[in-house]
Amino acid sequence: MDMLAAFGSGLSQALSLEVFPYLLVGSLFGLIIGVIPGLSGHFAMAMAIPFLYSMEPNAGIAFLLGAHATVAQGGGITAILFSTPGTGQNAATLLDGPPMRDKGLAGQAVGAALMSCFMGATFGAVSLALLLPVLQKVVLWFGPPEIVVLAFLALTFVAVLGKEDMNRSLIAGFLGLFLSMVGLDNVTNQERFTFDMLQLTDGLALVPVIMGLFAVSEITDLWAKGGSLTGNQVKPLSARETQKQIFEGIGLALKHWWLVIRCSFIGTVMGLIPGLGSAPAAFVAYGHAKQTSKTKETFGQGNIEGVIGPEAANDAVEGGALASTIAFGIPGSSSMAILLSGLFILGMETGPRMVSEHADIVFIMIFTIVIGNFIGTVVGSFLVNPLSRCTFLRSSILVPVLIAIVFTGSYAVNREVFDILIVIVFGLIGYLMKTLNYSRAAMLIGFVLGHAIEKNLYLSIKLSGNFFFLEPIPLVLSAITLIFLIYNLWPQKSVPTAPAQKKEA
Amino acid sequence: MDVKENTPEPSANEKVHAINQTKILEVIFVALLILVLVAAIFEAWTYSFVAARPPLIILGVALLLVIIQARRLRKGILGVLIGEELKKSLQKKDSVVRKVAAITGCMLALVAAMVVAGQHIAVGLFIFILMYYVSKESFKLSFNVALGSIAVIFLLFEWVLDIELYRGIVYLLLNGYKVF
Amino acid sequence: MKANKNKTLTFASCIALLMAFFLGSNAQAETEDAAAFYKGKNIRWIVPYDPGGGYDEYARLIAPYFAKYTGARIRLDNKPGAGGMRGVNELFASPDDGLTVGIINGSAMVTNQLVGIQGAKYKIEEFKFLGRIVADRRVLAASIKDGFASFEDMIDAKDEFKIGATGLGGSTYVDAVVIGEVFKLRQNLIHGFDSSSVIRQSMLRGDVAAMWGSAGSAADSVDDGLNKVILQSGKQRSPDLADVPTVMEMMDRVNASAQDRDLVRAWQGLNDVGRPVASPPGTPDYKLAFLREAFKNAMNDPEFLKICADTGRDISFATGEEMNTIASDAAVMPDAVKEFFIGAIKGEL
Repeated sequence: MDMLAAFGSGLSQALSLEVFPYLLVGSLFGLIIGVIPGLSGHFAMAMAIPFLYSMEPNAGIAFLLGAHATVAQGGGITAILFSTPGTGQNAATLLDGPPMRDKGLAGQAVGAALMSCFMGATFGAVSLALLLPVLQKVVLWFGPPEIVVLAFLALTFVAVLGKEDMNRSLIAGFLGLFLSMVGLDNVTNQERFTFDMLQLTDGLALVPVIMGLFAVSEITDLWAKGGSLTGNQVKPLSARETQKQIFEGIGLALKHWWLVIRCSFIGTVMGLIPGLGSAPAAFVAYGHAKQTSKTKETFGQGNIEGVIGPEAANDAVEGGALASTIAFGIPGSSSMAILLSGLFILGMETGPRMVSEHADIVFIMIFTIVIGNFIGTVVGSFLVNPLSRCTFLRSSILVPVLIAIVFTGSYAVNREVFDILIVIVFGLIGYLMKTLNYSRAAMLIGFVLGHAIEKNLYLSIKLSGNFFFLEPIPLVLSAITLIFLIYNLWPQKSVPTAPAQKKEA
Repeated sequence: MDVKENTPEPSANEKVHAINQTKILEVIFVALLILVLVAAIFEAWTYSFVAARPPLIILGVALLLVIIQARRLRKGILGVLIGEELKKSLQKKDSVVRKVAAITGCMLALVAAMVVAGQHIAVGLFIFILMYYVSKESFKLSFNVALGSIAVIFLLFEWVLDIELYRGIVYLLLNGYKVF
Repeated sequence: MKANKNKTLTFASCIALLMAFFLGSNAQAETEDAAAFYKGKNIRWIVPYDPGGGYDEYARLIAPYFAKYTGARIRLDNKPGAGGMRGVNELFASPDDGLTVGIINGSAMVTNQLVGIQGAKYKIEEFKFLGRIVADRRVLAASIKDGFASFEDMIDAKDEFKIGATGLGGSTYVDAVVIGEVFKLRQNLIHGFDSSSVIRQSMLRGDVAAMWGSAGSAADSVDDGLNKVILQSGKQRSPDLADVPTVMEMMDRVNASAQDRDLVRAWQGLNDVGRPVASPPGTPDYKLAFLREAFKNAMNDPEFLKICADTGRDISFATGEEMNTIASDAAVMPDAVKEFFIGAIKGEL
């Protein structure tokens, strides 16, 4: 099927009466799942699977991908309004989103976030379309050596994020790396730091850790300080004011289009790589936004670029992940694995034949992502008003309810009570880190990337020998990493000995 | 949706106290970190070589960095009596330390209650007790919010999303599950 | 004060009501007639893996037919974790009222018990088996990109080649160790990959030459012309792999020793445990008989068989009673072989 015909067919099918309603329902479903703290894209897909048995292939795909597309948007809303990331991908939005809310600019932040998500998703989807002919070659470029070096590059963003207080950020990062090693090492069957608990055999679950580090810590902080989320400086916004801000936010995202494109590029590339997950992409994009901004000192205190960057990246990741999943039927992440089986249930085969014989289905996917995100943006902006009213509630009401929801969401992911204990423990750790200015972002990056780095380092050495980094792509990437590090660490300012007054990264 | 009254601007004394509090908190934090890292190193030492290598390297570097941080802290806390400040923090009625300890304790109690009595009852009790007894909100408000939250959570998770939330050991035992 | 007392009373009665609601919702009456018992009830079906995996797919495929023959509603419950052990533990601890069943990774659970792995809170011989959905069919897939064209090439290989495997002691690992030992292959077994799909990508890149896996998971990439199956387990060639020699055939070719044959036989025994469906220990006999009958009917339902054939899903039904024998036989093997297996699973070889 030639590309142009597939393009047309895909578009018309996506908008047809037999597909569009499913797209709509899926997108709304995904948005709501995203808003609920603890539930993520993986969860939304898993929930969607039982419904696929009664759907036609094109409708089923629209439903599945529509749900997956909008989760990050919903998560962005909660992250900004309640300092509670709805999903792991939105953790980076916590750095500048809530500060904007505290300044009375919540509407702007959400508007910008939603729009960046949409733009990022479009970029990712378009990249997928353009990559189709060479998809297989590109995906095969990334093996263990490339993954190690890329993950390491992402890790060095700790340096950028924590430049002001290097030692503390590094400690946080290394602690994160250490935490990623809890669990069963499948190379030696050695249970590491599990203390014979079956619940730790698979390691610390990501969602509870993020909920604890970023959500419960903020909630604890709110409880300790009293008052309301937005602090006492700002008067509650009227509905009209909020609406106006949302449009302003959308406008700002469009204004920073070049930043959006660069961060989307980062997201797509990191999405192509299996096993890295979407949270690192958002943080790397944040780091890049901070680095290239003309106002970098205000990052962490409510700079809109700090919202636009991560949100653009975390949606673009999808396009990349989908590319590698479709190319060979090899899933890049857990939610992609579920997508694959969803496709199987719908009678669809992935791999080279999908691209050559069912290109129109691939285009349905692409259009679903774009249209789904658009729906998410529109509906999301209407959700903001009622939700933002809640942020003005006082802490004595908000804290118990938020804790209840976060705990329930964290439990729901794996139906494991132990996960809630993890949430509490990391909540305390996160609160301490926040108060003492240790970068939680650095810890999260270390935690998420630790496994990928260790595992792929081992495989690289086994498969390609000790000098695996001398192969072309790893070499180039290593060079970039070195240059990046030197550039950032060169002018060493004197490091403060007490926690700095400004907010931690 | 009223906003609580602004607390008055803290005095100079209180500001110093606040800074000291943070310093002390960090000292305790760093001390705990050293303990944990050393314990982890001992634990990792018992692992097989290939499995132990990465953790030991990471832990080693982390420990080094933490010790550097500890030394930097030493310079900043000269003249601050740790014991004194700690006692002051624990004694002050609405000090941050007490509040954080209280809420963490309540969260742990919530989990314990969930394990025994199940998700919904525990959550309801948690919200009610926090609002009515700790924050001294009105009975009506506390009750309504607690009930409302249970209802919303139940509808959303159990009905819409079809996830079975934890029923509690009591329920499981009564229904024949071999919990122990 | 009176006002406070009233409030506390209201609150307490609400709690009592809630408790009654949640605690009382599973009362059942004992009946001798199993069919009447099951009509309209909810059966919980535990799947120890994430939605979308092979186990989940099988469960979803058969659930409607199982529902048809039991008259009950089937509710799938995914409980992933610890390589399938979490779900199996949960199944073992579930109530024996006949309203819980589960699909288990039989071969892995037998080997776990063999090795005495910590965290196994079950005893496989105490499960009440309903039957088996499919036995494990293991195949060796080789990369097309400068890989081996046939198994003989692999036996005759002059240089060392790499085989990929997932976790130490996992099925893909043990397969490679056993077959590598029997045929004295010049293999460098690289384990530690996170999943089969990652190994498959490695094969496409040319990093590893071959990998073991279940027939089902290899089928997809074979269809796409990316990999090629060069060896299969089983006593006879399976219809969809008619040109691929079996391990038994190749053993005759190389005149394998008696010990090697014992080893392969034990390996085959483990594969035969496959994916059974079971009910917790203590399930009453009359309910178990009913469930077994329903399962048998579901597995033989012509519609179900047709769907399996269409989607390329392997089926090899065995009854509950047969499963008891298969499971207990799987753990029985000559001491030398047992030692070898335990060593292979523990990764000492």
